[in-house]
Amino acid sequence: MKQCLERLYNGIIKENPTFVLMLGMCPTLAVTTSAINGLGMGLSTMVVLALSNLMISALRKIIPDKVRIPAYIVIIATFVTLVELLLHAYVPVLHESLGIYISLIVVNCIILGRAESYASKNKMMPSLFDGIGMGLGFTIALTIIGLVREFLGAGTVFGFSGPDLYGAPLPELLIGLINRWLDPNSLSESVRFWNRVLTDEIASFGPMSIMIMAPGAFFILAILTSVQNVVKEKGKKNGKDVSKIQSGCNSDCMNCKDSGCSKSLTETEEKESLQPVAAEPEDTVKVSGSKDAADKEAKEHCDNEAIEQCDNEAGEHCDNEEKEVNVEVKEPADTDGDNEAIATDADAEITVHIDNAGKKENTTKEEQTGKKDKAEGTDKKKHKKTLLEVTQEIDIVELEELLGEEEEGNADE
Amino acid sequence: MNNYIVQLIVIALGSSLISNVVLSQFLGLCPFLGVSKRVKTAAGMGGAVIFVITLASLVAGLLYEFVLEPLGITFLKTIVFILVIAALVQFVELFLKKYLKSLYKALGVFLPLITTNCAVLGVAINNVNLEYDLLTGVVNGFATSVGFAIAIIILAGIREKIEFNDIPKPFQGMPIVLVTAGLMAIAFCGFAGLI
Repeated sequence: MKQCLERLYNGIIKENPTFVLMLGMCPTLAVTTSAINGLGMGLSTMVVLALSNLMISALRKIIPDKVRIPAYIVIIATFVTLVELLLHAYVPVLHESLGIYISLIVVNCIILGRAESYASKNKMMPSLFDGIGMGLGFTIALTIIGLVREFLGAGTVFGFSGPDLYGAPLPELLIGLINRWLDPNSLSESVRFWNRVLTDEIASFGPMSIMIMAPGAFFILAILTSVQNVVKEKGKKNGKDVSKIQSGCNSDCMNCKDSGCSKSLTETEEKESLQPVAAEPEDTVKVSGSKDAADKEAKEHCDNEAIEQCDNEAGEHCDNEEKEVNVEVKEPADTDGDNEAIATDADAEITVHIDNAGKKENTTKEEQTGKKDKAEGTDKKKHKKTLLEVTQEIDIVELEELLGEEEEGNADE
Repeated sequence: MNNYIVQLIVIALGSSLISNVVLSQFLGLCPFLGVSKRVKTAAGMGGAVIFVITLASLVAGLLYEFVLEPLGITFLKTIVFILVIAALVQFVELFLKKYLKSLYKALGVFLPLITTNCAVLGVAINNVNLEYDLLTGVVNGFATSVGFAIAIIILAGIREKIEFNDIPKPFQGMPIVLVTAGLMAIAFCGFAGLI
């Protein structure tokens, strides 16, 4: 029982899927044009999440490991279809306004993510409560976002507008109340001026309808993530564990292994498909700069944040990468020829830039020897630091490259 | 016939620009935000999405018309579509790996990311909900994915430009990207007057 309550708390506050983990952003942005839509979407997702978690947990010993993802998808899709048909039958208005997004609960990262990271490893009751907790967290988040957007964009709350209540749109009403509460004589001239301007603005333009249009969703999310950034920064300063914040898809899709975005159908395929990312030689990346930005993003991600951030699975992934990086650094260090051989067409472009600066030979050689020394001089404990340095070097090379491009552009002009 | 072609063009314009899949329907946000750091990667992702969505809308349309409808089990469309799409992506990956090495190199990394991309399933379900016929469905899928490619490439271009800008600290990273996307969404609202 204690564990179940802990799961609820975890889902609603500690690992809130929207405010902390940033998962399932597509429905979050799409349906939160009003609070009631957000509530409906959240509750539908919660039902699917709880039931699929329960089912997957019940079947966790029967489902073969290799085909677990398709099995999860079938289970989830079944519940989604059930919920959709029920909504269609009993709440047709909501079904109408949520539209296609009900069916798209199937591909919501949260559901597959929870199935994979919790329900497939735990007993039925905790899994059920994990689903309910996560679902409630999602519902609360969606309702709050919907409430804010609806209030700003349409001037209503849960569909109740000011005229129903007091005969004025809500923002105007609010300003009116504040004005009544403030004593105008005690205010300074400038405050009174701005107060008047604001009141006039709201009265003449009405609500900011952009907030319930598509761009408003992006702006709201931008504000939300910036708040997260601040919280994360503060938490880091106070020495708190902030690894969970924003560990969802938004930071780096290539690495979001445990939230279900980049799942292949079967385990073997997954490993195979990940290999090109992991095994790319460090040297190529370094010289060719943006040749395979995905790789580098992955590496940077691992180096800078993921060591603390990734949980088990992803962490292992990063470790593997680090080792491979080290090996690769040692190998091609002896000759320039080797290096040319690995480099691709993208490399040629950058080589030209460096050539322009007239120090191609020097830079590459210096860099390589430097790296070699560092690579050889490290043991496992110094590992992280060196890698960070190397990444910084990559950044410098990248900067040079960018500058080079700009210079070239100027020359063209 | 003429009318049909006009209708196709209208649908194509509508789903690629006016109701852009990411900027106004919010489908496929994960790759849109996650794989848009460099124009090259963004173009690769865009290409992969065009490829997969067009193929998936064809396959889903065929399945719906010749299997689900005759059998009267259209309510199973969500399950069938998601499984077919997931299998299709895997199949495409294997096929490309075996026979089209160069294309695999360009798109291979992105294919697993598309398996559970809501844009793919969204297009398939939309085609069914709006009762498009097979050709219209495929055109709609193609146009939608082209809209995705346009949006992600533009975003990547802007992100490359603003990478070293002096941005207030709380807004560094994801928030500024979202603000950019919001401004792009405003710009795309302008296409509403096109038809």
